[in-house]
Amino acid sequence: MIKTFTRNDLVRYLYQETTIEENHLIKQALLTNDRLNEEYFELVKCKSEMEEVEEGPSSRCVNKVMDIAKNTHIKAKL
Amino acid sequence: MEKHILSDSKLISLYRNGNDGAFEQLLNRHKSKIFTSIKLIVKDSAKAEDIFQDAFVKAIKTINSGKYNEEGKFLPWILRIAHNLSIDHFRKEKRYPTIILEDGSNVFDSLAFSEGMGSRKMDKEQFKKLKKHIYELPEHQKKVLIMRHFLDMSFKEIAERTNVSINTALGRMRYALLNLRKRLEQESIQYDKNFYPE
Repeated sequence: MIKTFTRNDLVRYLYQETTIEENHLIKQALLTNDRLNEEYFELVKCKSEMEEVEEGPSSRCVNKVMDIAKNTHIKAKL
Repeated sequence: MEKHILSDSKLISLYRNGNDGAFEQLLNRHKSKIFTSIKLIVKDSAKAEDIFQDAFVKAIKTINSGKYNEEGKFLPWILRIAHNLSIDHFRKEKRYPTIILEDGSNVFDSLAFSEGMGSRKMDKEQFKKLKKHIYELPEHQKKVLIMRHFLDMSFKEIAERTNVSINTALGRMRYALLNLRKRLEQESIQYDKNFYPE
């Protein structure tokens, strides 16, 4: 039986909430359905633009976490 | 040379076996997503950094004690730790976080432009425009977008929190992304017209 995918399924796929089996079927559907493929492309573009809005912690904060990771590691080994 | 990308669980396993560089890679991979999620709740950079650090201390201790569950995924796990710590912060201050669930527009007030995030990142002007477009989305679309994209909640969790079906949550997310895309595209057409008058 051929499974038809809805546009909502594309959103689940975009955010990696589909199963491995569904992934395989969606990939096939994207290859054969131009409209679906076009919409998916639009969604991907927008998602990547959204990723630009993310903000990072200061390098001081990141370095502190790294120090903790190293020290905890050393203590765990002793 | 092709760069081989290691999975989170591989990096954790390497770190547990003495490779600190593996942990650094893991930290750099997820730091922005985790920090942004915290800041969306606490809306203060200094506080967000404290919570970010506390979340990692918990994660580091769990990994080194051998209690980390290999089957779980690292990012949702640490985001849950960070989210709980952020909520605890409000409890201590006897305030209830309005977060974004009540008023999506407030959330983006706390997002600032971060410089030095790599050449792929957009410039200040583009960032402001994107923020403005997110502001202008219909409320229910904005909520789902923030909850899924920045708080990393699953569509099932979003559906439960907003009392709608999963399909409705998915539909709202889809419209939010497409609306955003349309607005950005319209803006770029307008920009072209200014440059090349008809």
